[in-house]
Amino acid sequence: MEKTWTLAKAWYYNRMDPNYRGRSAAEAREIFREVGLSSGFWFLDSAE
Amino acid sequence: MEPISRESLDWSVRLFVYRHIVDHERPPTIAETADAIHLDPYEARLAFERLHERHALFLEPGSVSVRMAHPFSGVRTPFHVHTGGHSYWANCAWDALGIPAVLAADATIEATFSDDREAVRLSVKNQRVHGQEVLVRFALPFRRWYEDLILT
Repeated sequence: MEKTWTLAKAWYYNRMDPNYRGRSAAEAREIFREVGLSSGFWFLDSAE
Repeated sequence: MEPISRESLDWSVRLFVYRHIVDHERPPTIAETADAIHLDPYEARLAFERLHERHALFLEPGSVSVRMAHPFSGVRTPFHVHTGGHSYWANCAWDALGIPAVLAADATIEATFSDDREAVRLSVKNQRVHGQEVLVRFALPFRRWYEDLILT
C-alpha cells in the first residue's frame, strides 16, 4: 500500500488547486518514474 | 467587466464541481452549477461536456451527470472514505488513497476488494498509510485507461 499511497499523493495532491490545468502525458510519465513505476505498463506510447 | 474565456470558464466549473463534492459529498447537477456560477444551464452543460472531452471530469455515459471527478466518484462504489466529518465514494483502491491525498487530510478507508470480497480497513494519519497489506492491481496499462474508465 505504501507505493500506492506515494503514487496517490504525487498524482492527486494538486487536483483542487485553483491553478490546476490538467497534466501532459510527459508530466504523468515523470510522476510514474519518480515513484519507481518505469515499466512499459506505465507508458503512453505502446511501442515503449 | 471583461468577458471570461471559455477555457477559464471550464476550469472554474471544474473547480466548483470538486468543491461541491467536498462540501456535499456528491457532484452538483447542471442546474446547481449554473446557479452557483451564474451561467445559463445550457452553457454549464457545454462546460461539463468539454471537461469530459479533455478528461477533466468523467460524465455518466449517455448523460451529463458527473460519474467521476478523480479521485471522487459520483456513484456508490466498494471504496468508502471518511475524512473531516464527511464520507466520500472513491472510484478504485488507488483513488481511495487519492482522497486523503487531494484533501491533505487524515482519513479512514473502508473497502471491499474484488478478489475475495473481504472488507478491508485502512487509515491515513499524518501522511502515512496504516492497515493490512493489500495488493492494488491496475486492470489496464496507462495508455488504455481512458478507453474504459469504469473498468480501469
